Amino acid sequence: MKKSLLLSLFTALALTVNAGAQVFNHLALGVGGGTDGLSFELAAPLGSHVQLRVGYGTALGLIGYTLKDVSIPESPASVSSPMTKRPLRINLGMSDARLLFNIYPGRGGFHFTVGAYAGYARYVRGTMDGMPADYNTVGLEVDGYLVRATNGQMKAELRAPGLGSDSFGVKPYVGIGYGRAVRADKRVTFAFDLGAQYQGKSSLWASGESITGRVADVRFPEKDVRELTSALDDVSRYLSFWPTLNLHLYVRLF
Amino acid sequence: MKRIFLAVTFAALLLSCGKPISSENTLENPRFVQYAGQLVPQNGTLQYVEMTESGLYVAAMPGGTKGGPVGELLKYYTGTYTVSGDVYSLGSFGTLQFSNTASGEVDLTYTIGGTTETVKAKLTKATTTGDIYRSWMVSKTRVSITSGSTVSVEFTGCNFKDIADFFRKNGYVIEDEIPASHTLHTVSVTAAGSLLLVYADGDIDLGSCVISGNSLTYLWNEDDMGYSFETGKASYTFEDGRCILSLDAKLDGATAAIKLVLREMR
Repeated sequence: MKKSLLLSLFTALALTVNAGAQVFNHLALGVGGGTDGLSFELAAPLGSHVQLRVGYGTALGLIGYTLKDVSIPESPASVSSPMTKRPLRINLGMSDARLLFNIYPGRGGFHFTVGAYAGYARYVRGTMDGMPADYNTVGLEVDGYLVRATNGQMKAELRAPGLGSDSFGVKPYVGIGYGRAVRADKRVTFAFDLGAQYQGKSSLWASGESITGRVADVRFPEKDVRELTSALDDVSRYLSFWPTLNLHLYVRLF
Repeated sequence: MKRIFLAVTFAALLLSCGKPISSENTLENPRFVQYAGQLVPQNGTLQYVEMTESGLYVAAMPGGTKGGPVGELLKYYTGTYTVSGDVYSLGSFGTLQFSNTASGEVDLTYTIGGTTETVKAKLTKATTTGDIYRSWMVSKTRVSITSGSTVSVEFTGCNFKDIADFFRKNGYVIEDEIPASHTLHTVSVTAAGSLLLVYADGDIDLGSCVISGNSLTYLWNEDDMGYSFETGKASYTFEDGRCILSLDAKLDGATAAIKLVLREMR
């Protein structure tokens, strides 16, 4: 439904623009990177003060941090189990499309940007390798799905829906920046953006297996997460707005 | 035209799709459904015979160590049976001959160990039908303990020693002494009202059961059968052509479930 709405809005916008003005008379291809992942964009003018940017970005798991000594029980099924330490790799995990409007109040490059990111609601993923053998058989059961390690590797992710859902996030964006994505007088341009995506409340997800072998992503109940750690509450509090900083290189195609 | 193309290209970047999941839960009638039933001879050496809808039998003779539906210490035998007319061949155990048309008193002639006897027997045939009434092989077991969150473990097959050990590791006292060889081989639910567990080491647990909706309540024929953590309550569902039989278990301060993934014995 949301996808259909976005498609309808965008098509309506494209069909109703003023054909005589500087609208879609140029097109630029951009590549860039930042805290919203590595991305490519198509950009086109919508008059002299607005530029449309549509693209896709993904973090590819390239940016992250490793917590070296995270303590876990040697055996999750034993109340008296000794603790052991394993590294926890945390990576940016967003993968979403974007629809942004750069609004230029003057003739220079300074602009405001409004729009939204839409797609996979995940924005962080965590991986713990070398889990003790018991973790391959013992795990937490959520809605009939057993979440456990596979070949000694445990994966989980943080999702935030924004205005969408946990399976399809829609995250409004507001920011400022400098640089024009499309310039009639230059083939190559740079643009810089700084802003924030509204993410809403974060939740912890992982892949689980039903008793008959079906695999699905499941959301850990908040009470279960709180039993393990209070970190998710802190994350929800501080990261309900995702800081977005990126730099793009645009090449005008025509 | 170029603008419309661009608009559609842009819009395609925003779209993705998912794939629905389908399931098949239909089971064919078991092969021996018309022959299934329960025989209790009124006298003679043969004490009891249960024939399941899937072609398994359990026969009981005196001289064993376990109690049974007729109140004596019995020795149980199990295997598969075949039928030719009124003659039932119970593997190497022996043969039975009786008219298997309706519940009630029948003339039963059996030959066991070369000795033939003819006695009166009470025949109980199924009065109901349902997918649950058949013999099942255990392919997987999931044991769950719920105390706040739910911690679960999965095993291939079903070994009640592993289950008891999982409970113990989680801090619960289980007094049952279960040999490592006590691997569950088949579970049979008969429309005549019996629950039958056959273990790989030859042991047998036999009880009565009542089905109501998707709930199953059962009672073992004597105290040596089953385990202390069982409640006698279970439920079942069908998923992806398999039966999920969930036995409720009781632990001190927590609830637990033993879910057996069962595939039909053919």
